[in-house]
Amino acid sequence: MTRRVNIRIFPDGHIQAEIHGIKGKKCVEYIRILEEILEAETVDSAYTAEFYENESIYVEDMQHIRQSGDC
Amino acid sequence: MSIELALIPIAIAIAGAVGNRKRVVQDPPNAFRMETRIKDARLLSRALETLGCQSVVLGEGIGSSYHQTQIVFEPTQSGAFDAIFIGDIGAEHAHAFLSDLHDEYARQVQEYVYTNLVTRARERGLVLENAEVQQDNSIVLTFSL
Repeated sequence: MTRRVNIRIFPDGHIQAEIHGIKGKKCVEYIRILEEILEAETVDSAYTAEFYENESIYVEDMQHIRQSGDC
Repeated sequence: MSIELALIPIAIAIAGAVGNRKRVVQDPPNAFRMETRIKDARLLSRALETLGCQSVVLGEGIGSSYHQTQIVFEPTQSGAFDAIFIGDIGAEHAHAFLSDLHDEYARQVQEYVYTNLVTRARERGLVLENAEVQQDNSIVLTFSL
């Protein structure tokens, strides 16, 4: 899945951001990066099902893709 | 999708309500004080000037005027400025002025956040794929990671 972030800056100053394609702790790291580059504080967050997918499953998938030559 | 976030720029106070009346003993008798959510002096000056009001730096605060009324923006412990109106102005007019000022200040914040974001994202390796202004004047940017 493509790793992407969508950011919407509203004329009243508030900001919405959606981080796509990143799982687990990496996703939390990107929250800190976004807060830094936006000079903003997170006031609400919603973790979606993808966030809770086990990273080990992700690694297994990647190994499977590599073995099958799809990478 | 992994995470959805709502963020508030640090230039805007998260808590507090615009135009709440406050009373401080040291204020002159012909003055009244209102709460704002404004935290950035530079963007406040820009917003005042956009509304046609001169602004001057007064120590840590900002001085300005609106018609015959002097306005002092004084920083508080929370980081947000209080607006102190000194002179002959009704609460209703002062409230309307602050509301217009907040709208303009928020636009200044939007522009500041956008400009900073484009520069800093590049420095952090985020690649800007698309940027569009929507009908509601929000700016939508897409970055690949």
